[in-house]
Amino acid sequence: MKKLFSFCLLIVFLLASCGGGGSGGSSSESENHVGVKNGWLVLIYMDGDNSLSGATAEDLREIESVKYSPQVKVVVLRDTFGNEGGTIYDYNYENSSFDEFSVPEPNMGEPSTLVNFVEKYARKYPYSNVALIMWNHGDAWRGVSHPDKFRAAAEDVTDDDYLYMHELKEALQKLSDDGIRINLIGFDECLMGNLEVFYDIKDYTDVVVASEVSEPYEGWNYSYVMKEVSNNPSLDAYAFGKVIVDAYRKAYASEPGNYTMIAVKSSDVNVLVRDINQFISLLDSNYGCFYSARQNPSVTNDDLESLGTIDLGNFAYRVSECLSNSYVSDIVDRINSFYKYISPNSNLTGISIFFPSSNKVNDFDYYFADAAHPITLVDDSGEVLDENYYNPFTETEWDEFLERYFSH
Amino acid sequence: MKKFVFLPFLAIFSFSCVATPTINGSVNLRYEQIGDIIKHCSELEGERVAVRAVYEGWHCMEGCVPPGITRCDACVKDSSGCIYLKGTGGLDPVMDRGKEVFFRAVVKKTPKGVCYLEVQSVDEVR
Repeated sequence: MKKLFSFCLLIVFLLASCGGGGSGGSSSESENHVGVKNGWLVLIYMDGDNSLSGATAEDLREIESVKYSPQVKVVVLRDTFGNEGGTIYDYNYENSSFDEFSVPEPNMGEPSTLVNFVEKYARKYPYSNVALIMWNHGDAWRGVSHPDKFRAAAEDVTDDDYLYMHELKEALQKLSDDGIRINLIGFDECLMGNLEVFYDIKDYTDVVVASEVSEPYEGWNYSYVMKEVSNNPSLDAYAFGKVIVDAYRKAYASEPGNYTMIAVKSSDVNVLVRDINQFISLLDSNYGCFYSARQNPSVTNDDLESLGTIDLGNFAYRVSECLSNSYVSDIVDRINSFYKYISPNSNLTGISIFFPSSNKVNDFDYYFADAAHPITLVDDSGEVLDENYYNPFTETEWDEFLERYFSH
Repeated sequence: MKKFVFLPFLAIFSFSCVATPTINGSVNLRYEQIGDIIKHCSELEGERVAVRAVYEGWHCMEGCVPPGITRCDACVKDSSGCIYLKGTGGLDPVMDRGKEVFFRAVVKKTPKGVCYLEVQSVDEVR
């Protein structure tokens, strides 16, 4: 009898500890552990407080045109020029439309604005994957002779502020410290398909998507992108990135122009940088080859030239024409392996890198500010922008390569 | 008497040279103010012009109408007005803002009638 009683007690204990229907856990198939939904939270940081203000409306219409599945949550922070305050658009599944909430005028050039936006909604809507779309002008990497402006990922005219790349990196570091992981970062901006940009943010995301050159005014095809993600919420970050590239191809393949869009895994950024470190070790004994490759007009265009950058893949290809070495072909093959759209008949390969035509350009010296020797950035009014600015890309050997190249 | 007859023709010729200088012996450019380009956009469409202006990057005046060609379209201004360029115009919109520049461009118009310039070459005025 005692044994039977003990057995029954054991069964009752086991059933109770399964927690079926209890408030401490969930048996829902859409949640992988307590409170976290399987799927995507897509946060769009739409900084239209500048000359792109008019473009925000059309992209918002595209985003709003999709009926989202419960596995995909979309929240937009939109700031426009000439209007007081900003607006949050938060998708409401009950009426299949976006609820709108006014917020005080956001300074979209301030890192804390980005941090607060991402943190608030990542905590409010915990999903297994988070995508952050940066929407604005983009300036890739750029240094200056007087330290008031630097490479930027966003621009806010009302507050006369830029979200510099080092500030974006800080914001992502803060989010990471607070336990928020972003699985995909996309730049619906010109010129951000730049290796230094990818390197700056590689530790805070799994995939980066960006255009190496100008984007058309219409930007991304959000109707296509968001519909694909909503219909396939189990996409991983790279698959999501591919959707963005495919949407871009679909939108612009028949348009005249020189367009690129690339999706790169952060893990591949590390490998590419390793390839580059090996590649540039060939410089000293093959300077003539590197020089003629740099002079080849196909390695740059107006967009890239304005930033002092070149197309990395094309440059490596031009070197391969005069130097047969696996370190050279590795770079070409690696970049060719990335998922991308490049306009037909274009010489571009999707990723740019800083390599100005001369070491006399204004921004040259700022490229070399490393973590051990940070500089203080001060704007024209004397305001300190950053007391410890440095170029994370100096961790690679590319800056040494530039010094050696221009010392010949 | 012949000298006096000759002088008006010399004046007309000189004026023409100033307004439409010949560069490198073969190319004619019109020096234009931005306000005039916008006002006479239809007549100037497709023409090459020379403009001296301040590069504003993406900080364009209210009333300066973007052509909506790219997401990098920057603008320039002079005393007569403001006009957009296609793309960055070969300068950096963050770093080069405020610089006085001289550039050669082609006057263009969007299907919606917005006038803009497609820059062919640019130099900083020092």
